[in-house]
Amino acid sequence: MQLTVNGKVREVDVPDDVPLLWVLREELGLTGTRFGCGRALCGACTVHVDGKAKRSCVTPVGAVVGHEVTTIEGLAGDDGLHVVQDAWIAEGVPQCGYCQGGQIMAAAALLRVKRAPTDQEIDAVMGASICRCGTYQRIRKAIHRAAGSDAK
Amino acid sequence: MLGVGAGALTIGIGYRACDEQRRVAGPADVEGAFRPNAFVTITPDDRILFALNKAEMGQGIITGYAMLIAEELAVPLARVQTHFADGAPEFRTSDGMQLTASSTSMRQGFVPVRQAAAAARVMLIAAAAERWGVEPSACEVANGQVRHVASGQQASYGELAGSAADQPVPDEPPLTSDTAPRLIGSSPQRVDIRAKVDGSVVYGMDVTVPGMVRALVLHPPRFGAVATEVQADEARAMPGVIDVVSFPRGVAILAEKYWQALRARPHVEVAWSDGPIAQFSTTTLRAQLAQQEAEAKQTHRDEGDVEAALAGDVSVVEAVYETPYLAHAPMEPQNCVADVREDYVEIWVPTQSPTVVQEAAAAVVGLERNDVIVHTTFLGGGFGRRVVPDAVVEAVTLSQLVGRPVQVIWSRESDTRQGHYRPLSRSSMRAAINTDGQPIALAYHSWSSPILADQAGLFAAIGPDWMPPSVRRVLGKQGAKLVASDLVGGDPLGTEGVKETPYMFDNIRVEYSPIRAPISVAFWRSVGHSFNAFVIESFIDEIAHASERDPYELRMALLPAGSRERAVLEALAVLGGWGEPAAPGFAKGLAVHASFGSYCGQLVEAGVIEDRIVVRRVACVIDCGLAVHPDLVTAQIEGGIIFGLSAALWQQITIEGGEVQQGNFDSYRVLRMHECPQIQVEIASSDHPPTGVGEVGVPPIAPALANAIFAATGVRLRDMPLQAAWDQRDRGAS
Repeated sequence: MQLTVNGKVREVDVPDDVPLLWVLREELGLTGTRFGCGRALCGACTVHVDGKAKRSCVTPVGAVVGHEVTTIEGLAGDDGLHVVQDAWIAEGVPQCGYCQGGQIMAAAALLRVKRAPTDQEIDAVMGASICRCGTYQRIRKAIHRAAGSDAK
Repeated sequence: MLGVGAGALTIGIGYRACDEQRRVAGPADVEGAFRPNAFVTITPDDRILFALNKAEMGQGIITGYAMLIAEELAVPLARVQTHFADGAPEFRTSDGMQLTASSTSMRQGFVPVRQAAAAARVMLIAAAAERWGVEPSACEVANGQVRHVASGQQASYGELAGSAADQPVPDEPPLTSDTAPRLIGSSPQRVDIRAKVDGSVVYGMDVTVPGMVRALVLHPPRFGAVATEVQADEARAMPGVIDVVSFPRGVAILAEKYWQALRARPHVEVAWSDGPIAQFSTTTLRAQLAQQEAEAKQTHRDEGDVEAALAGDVSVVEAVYETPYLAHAPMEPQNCVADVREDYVEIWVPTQSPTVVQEAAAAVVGLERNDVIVHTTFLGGGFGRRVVPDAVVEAVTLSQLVGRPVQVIWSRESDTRQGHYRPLSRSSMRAAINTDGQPIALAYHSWSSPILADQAGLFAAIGPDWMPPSVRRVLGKQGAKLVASDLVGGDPLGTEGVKETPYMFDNIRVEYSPIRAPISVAFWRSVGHSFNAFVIESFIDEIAHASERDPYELRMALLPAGSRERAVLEALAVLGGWGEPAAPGFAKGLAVHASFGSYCGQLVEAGVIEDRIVVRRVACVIDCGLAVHPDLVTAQIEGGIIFGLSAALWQQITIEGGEVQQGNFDSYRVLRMHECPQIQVEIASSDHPPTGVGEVGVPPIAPALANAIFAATGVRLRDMPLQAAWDQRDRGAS
């Protein structure tokens, strides 16, 4: 089947029901999308499908045929980093970093629909992603920074 | 091997030939490079390479050590290119191990890592001075150049690499950063941050080697159970599936791709034996502990006469506290790649101890441990879990079986259920308060499983290379038994944090009894402090309540003048506004606790809203000696607080019928964004050398929270997790 991932058309030979996560990791070599729970409970595997955040560990690859998939590797385009990634660096967010690709993808999708999210709006979306290192306070600051707003 | 300095790192000179020690060419193997010790390499093309012998699991040591190297070589931090050292004798520290644990990295490396760079600097200067026919003292270094001050001649480190190697290695190279630090004490960007935001960072999970097979391991539902029957004919016929095999640790589905193994999973049926612990129940264990006298009591501290004091004209405060088994739950599930060859094994693994990995893998295949090449990756969290090499044993066993490199990837459920847990504990506390309201006696008796008794692998790894592996293993087993045995007073970790309490009681006794349960226990971020701080710092508040004193004032009265705990507590009272009202419906509680050489106080503002414990704010003061990178210290303390709150509020591993009841993040709950309090961290300025950071933020949070809940509601919660204790507060209150 043909997939569109990070703006490129990729051919993969896998059954429809394989989780997108493992197709990205094992067939396309895009390992920035992480396996954390396998049940859409932690968010480490978050990617964008047509710009919306999706949990790739429970998304069958067949469901994204004909849609645009974006992974952490493709978030920024060719020039430098995405504004959310820059904000993550400015706030010194990552510790172990394992969840952060998923966190960044979730935040970028949030900012696409809410240009300046409130703390409650951040909670509602980001509360679905786990960071075992406990970087939540910095994630919140980074999202506000990326939004260019200190809205509370 | 020539030691440089008296520090913990042994800085070997030169590079062992490949025929003596197994080596895979690494980043530092550059022709013509200057390598004054195992850690620092300067290449002729002016690259500065640093071999990091610690695990980077989020604590930031890759940045901290690189700062020390840059500092002493007088180069910008960005000039230091750090790579993970493979498992090898020259990277072991003075304890005989390559091990990242006990919040020791900066404590251990602060002097010797700087000495490694300073030795290079001294030799580069000597080489330049010789070339120019001048005194070394007439030369200085800056920005990767040696310069003769008077003449202005200069040469880059790379240009000098060849001749620097011929200079004598200094025994005690002077540390310039002791007098004029440039980087130490500042907070540059973490050196790994770019890779961690663009997704390119490589964890163990991301390793691919040619010809590699993936293994999905089905673990027994009960520890020690074995597969008695495996039906997998259909699975074996599925595309990509290589085999389904039963092996001592479970049943492995081996496939070309992990997704193929996942698809085969529903087509594998396994019947398991009951195993040795099919009757085991944590509920029963807790009930037994409540009813039985301890089989043995070990006295870890005894001053004055506690029983006489308790029998005097005093009021006695008594309480019993319990804490559960806990899993580590790092975000990256356990995994390992192993490639077993005829006379060596190559391993890629996110580990906290390459030495433990070498020892464990060598035992599986019957080789010497230095025939095991270990490449360490970044770790997606460690917290103590990645000291235990069980995924390594699986990957090595399976690679030997199929004759190809094998990557083992655990499910989240396996990661939770195949844990080596923070011990379950029970502590009984008694205090005597005299008629003047003075606490005069404290009696502490704690039961927990001896952690050290389960560390045979670790103790074997400590043994020296010259010892035959079989002897190391026997000694490891015996050592683990011995260090936690009654002969030496039981596991010292069982009472850590209480037996050293600085609180001044005229009469104090600390006793320990082992829990002998068939559940493997291990180091969990802050180890014994994780439960002992909860007990002592909750109980101090109970004493304050019973003697009608302010919890802060009582602590100040019981702490010695000039103690660092006191200074932390004083700063905390200001930072957290002790004595000022909390938000409506909330109240404040505090705790102070020393661990891993550092001192940490936390003030929590919490309340119970519609039967739900809500933590609104945490203020924290940390005295960790010199903060090499203050923002990384702050980040670790913030993270420690969140880690401790997840445990304080919700986490517990319970076992019934031998089966762990929790599996994924729905049943083993981790704090999330909307549950995260506002956290404010203040680092106390200090003249002391650096001490522990990674674990130090964890111990005070649970008691500070329990104390805040008591202040808010009048209900004293003595069992962790606290939300469950709140929910059951009317039943069986002690």
